[in-house]
Amino acid sequence: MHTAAQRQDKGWWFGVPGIGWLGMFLVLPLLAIFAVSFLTRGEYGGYGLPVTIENYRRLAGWGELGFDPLYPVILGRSLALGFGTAVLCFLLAVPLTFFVAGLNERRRLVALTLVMVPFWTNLLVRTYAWQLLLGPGSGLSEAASTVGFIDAGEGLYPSWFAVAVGMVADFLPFFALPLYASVEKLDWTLAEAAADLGANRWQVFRHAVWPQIRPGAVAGFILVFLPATGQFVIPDLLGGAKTALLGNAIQQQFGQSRDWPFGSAMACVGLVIMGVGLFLQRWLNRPKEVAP
Amino acid sequence: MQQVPEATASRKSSDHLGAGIEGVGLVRAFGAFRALDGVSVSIRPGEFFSILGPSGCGKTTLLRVIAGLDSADAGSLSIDGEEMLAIPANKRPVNTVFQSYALFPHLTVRDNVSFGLRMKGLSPGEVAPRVERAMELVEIGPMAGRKPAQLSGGQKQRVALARAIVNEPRVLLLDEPLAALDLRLRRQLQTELRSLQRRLGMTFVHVTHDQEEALAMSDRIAVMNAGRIVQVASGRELYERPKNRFVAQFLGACNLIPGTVTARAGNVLTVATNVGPLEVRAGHGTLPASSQVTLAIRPERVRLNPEVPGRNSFSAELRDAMFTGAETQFTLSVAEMALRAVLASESVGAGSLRPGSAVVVDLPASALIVLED
Ligand SMILES: Nc1ncnc2c1ncn2[C@@H]1O[C@H](COP(=O)(O)OP(=O)(O)O)[C@@H](O)[C@H]1O
Ligand SMILES: [Mg+2]
Repeated sequence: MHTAAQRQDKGWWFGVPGIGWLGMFLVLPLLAIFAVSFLTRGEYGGYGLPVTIENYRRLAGWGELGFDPLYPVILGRSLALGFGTAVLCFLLAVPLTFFVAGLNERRRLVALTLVMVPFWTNLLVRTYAWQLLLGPGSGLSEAASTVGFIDAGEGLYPSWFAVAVGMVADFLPFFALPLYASVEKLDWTLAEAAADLGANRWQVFRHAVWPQIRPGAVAGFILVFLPATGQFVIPDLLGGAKTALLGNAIQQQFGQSRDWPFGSAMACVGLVIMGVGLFLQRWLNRPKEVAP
Repeated sequence: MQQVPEATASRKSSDHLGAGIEGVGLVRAFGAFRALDGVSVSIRPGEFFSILGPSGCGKTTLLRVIAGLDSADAGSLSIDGEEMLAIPANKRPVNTVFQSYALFPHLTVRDNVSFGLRMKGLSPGEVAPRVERAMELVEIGPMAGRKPAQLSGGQKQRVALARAIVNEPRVLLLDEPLAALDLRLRRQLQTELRSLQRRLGMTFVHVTHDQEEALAMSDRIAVMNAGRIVQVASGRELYERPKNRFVAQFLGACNLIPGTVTARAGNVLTVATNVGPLEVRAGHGTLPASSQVTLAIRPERVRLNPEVPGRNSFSAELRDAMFTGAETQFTLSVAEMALRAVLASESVGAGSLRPGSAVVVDLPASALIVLED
């Protein structure tokens, strides 16, 4: 008989193709980027010696002309965009998933399919559609101006509002699906037990429902927060291409500015933030230690 | 379980904590199906009241309506004279021990037990001693720091109990609290629950499908069937004077003999049956001659080969004898009908009661019950 450990010993080579692929196309490029981020920009783009931490100093705000918070601001703005998107998605996903979980089986299937329908069209197409829907003269803009939300003749696009709409529309499924997995297997007898013990509606949610759906909410939050932080297409297209974000700043360094080492440094900082985010998720969802 | 600490013990039985419950015509329908089909029940303050019935008869639904976890479609419900149906679960003077325990898995035993008091906004200083006392009462003090997943079934059951009684509810609802436990533990906890109820003076409404359990623990029992309450009485009365076939058969084994009333003389009815004419004591109901009735007699009340044959004696064939320890069970056949009799093994003589032998059976008039249906 083979123990599980023995079987694992023998099975290692099953992982070779996957590990090889990841090593070749993920780890090596990342290491390269990490290395490049400590090099100096060449005269006509490209990169070369000397080795320096100048790129990171610049990123932190120490430019050639003294302190300039441009890049910390870009980073902060990107984090705020990711965080804000995740919070908005959370606020929408909670009622949405409870609604869907309460439907009968057939309708639930339809509802879940509808949640995923946006995946079937390209992000750019969807975002251009929002431009049309929210632009000046559109029905929604007219309605918004009649209630005084915007001035007559203006559009809901371009604006931060339009960015929020586009971001939430794009990322909501990433929050809703893991959250739904938790909501669907909710043990409602715990909510009843809490109510029976005198908990009001908020206390029932806080003490009997939330602990059960928290893992799903944390997973959804991370799944939205991380990519939303790096997202720049939607803010560009719906916000009017006026603001720099982490994503387009990196793109710009590798593109127009031809400053690969600086772009690499930005990418590395972004990766570290995501790493911290993932670690945070595992830490928040860790199994609690228990006293005997 | 432990001696009751002062604060709880000092409560005299005269000022009991227990509240009376009055349900009238309660209906709960799921679509066209009526889980409660007009339940009227009157539960006295401070009594141990059991609801007994087969699985699916609506016991849990009735408890949920009392607790406020389910609504009633018709009828009224009052606790201590106060109308309850419009009051949400968290405002009712009632706590429940759930069939599945429903302990909070993410909380320790101590935090589970303190939950109700914390929800009421009591200060930690007030909560702690009451929680310790309740845990002591059900002997789970040493488990205080554990999570429910680390407890055995019996321990979970005790935590569920402590979590409810720590709130000192006027009514404690128990939904088959012992059903998931093994027999030995169940017997032990039955005794403990019973004495706990006596000491706390709360009204216990206890749901079970186990007739022995209901008989052993309750002041009174309501027998339920198909969404209705069939009979409410003490265990002894239910056993000795069941109202109809359902109650007679649900509480213990019973011989049923169909017949027709032929005569009535004062308190005595004569009933023509397959085994011959039987004299029976008339119950409270008036039964005119020629009405169809069913007579019932418990196997242990059937007498075999009596020294002095009575009026209801006749001969029968002994088909089978089964020794089960303290008692011996006999199957008799009379006029194509099978009768069961149970005798204490020590009173069964060695030779006379063999399968195939002829016996005289006596069905004493005082042991025959006239059923409604
Ligand atoms: N939420 C519900 N929806 C539909 N039917 C239900 C529901 N709850 C209970 N029932 C039905 O009502 C009947 C009584 O259920 P219950 O009160 O749980 O029975 P018991 O506790 O006596 O076993 C059962 O036939 C059950 O299927
Ligand atoms: Mg039940």
